[in-house]
Amino acid sequence: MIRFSHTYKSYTGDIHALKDISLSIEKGEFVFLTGPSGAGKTTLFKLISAYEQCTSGSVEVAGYDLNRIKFNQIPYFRRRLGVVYQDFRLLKQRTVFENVALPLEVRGDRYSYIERRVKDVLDQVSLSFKLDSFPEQLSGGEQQRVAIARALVHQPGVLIADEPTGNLDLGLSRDIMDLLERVNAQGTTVFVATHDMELVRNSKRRVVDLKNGSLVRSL
Amino acid sequence: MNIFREFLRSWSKQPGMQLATLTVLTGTFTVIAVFMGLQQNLGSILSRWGETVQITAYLEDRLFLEEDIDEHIDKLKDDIRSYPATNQVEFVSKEKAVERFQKRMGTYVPDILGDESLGSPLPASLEIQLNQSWRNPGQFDALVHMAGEIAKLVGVEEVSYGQDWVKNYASVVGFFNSSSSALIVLLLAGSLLVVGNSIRSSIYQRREEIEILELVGATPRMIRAPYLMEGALMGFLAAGLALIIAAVLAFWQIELFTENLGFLGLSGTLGYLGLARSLGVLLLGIVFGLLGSYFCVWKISRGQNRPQDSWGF
Repeated sequence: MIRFSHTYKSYTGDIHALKDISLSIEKGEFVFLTGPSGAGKTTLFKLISAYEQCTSGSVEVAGYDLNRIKFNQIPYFRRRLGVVYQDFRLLKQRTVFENVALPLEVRGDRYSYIERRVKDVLDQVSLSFKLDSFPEQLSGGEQQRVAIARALVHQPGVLIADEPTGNLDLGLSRDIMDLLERVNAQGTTVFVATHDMELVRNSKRRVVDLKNGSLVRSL
Repeated sequence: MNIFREFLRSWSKQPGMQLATLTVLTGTFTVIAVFMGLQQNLGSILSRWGETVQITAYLEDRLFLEEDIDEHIDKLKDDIRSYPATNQVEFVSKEKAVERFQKRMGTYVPDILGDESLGSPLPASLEIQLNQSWRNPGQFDALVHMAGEIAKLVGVEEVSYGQDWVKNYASVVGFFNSSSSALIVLLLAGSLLVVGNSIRSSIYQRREEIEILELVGATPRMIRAPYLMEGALMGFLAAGLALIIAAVLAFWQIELFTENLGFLGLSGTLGYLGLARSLGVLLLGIVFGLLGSYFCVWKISRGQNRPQDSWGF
């Protein structure tokens, strides 16, 4: 599902953000990405979501060779991904329903399907009663659940999450991790970047650890 | 995605900025519409005055001492009719010239009417009406040449093509047309910048939204569309308002003009922009609104709004 092969990423000024990364994440896996700040997690996620291309080696995600992908194919590739941010990144002027519906609207789905699907997903994240609320009317945990619903509504093969529990307290963090576990149980590949080693230990999932741009652990 | 809804969202996010842009654009298009109206009216005046262009050949007094005066005048008429520009030649005797003079001036100097002591101070002449195609300003050089030829005919003392001032008028109008066209081009270029700034501000306000749209797989076309629509609608609204303002100004000015300068006989000649020109102004508004936005949003299509720094780890 996600494959890095001898991947290097350098920036001008002789900065080597990633060095010889070889990594394979299979369909349906749940993997944590850990490492200190500056380890290369940002760069790795940018490569996965086609915001940047590697300097050498290869990156393959959901059947797309991201070194050879054409610019006009990138939007269609991104429709196969779900992304969750630490800061939720919801649109304040749109309701919960409208935020979650965004990937389906972009895909050009019919309104009747959008309505049904959004309600289903909001039901999965236990927020169907907040359909017409605006993000600012929700708690942090609720906002993150809306963001996860948006990332899942179009049924992506891969879900990548950047510190999804970074802004939440312990209880809410566990709720979010439970939700991600459930998503994974339905067959979605989940790749989560986190600093929370307790969460990583508790979940007993595969861990990819980066340090100074190199892979130091992939268990 | 509902483009119109996105447009309304943009307006609701920054109404002050949008209103300021609309005001400046409306002002710009009002000036454009006014100049187009002036061009149109000056053109109408020119073509109306051009219709009165004729050549008058004043005849020598000694000609009337000859016995075969009628034959001489007929020959002159035939000679003049041989010019392709000639439509009609009319002989105006001294008496008829005086009669006309008295009629023309009678309104201002009533005593002159019926004043027999006036005698016949005016010369007899041949009045040459020109064909329609020779009455436009572009034919003035040919007209001067023809007048020169007529002046050489035996018995002709002097030739006047009295409306040679129209030639000067034509060059003034030409200068006005070219300078106002240059001004219109400048204003249109300015309108591009104004629309561009407004759209740039919209993009800045909604940069987070653009990033999220890119993230969920919106194509550049989908992301650009609301901004292009916003620019086009802004241009359309501004041009529409400008047409209304210019119409009010035009009708007010025309009324003043015909009331105070009625002796020029221009009522019926002056008017507001026709349908084609009005539609042209609207189209200009839409096109320049679109262009102004396009110059700002083309970057989006090249991925230059990517959330490079939005990853928070």
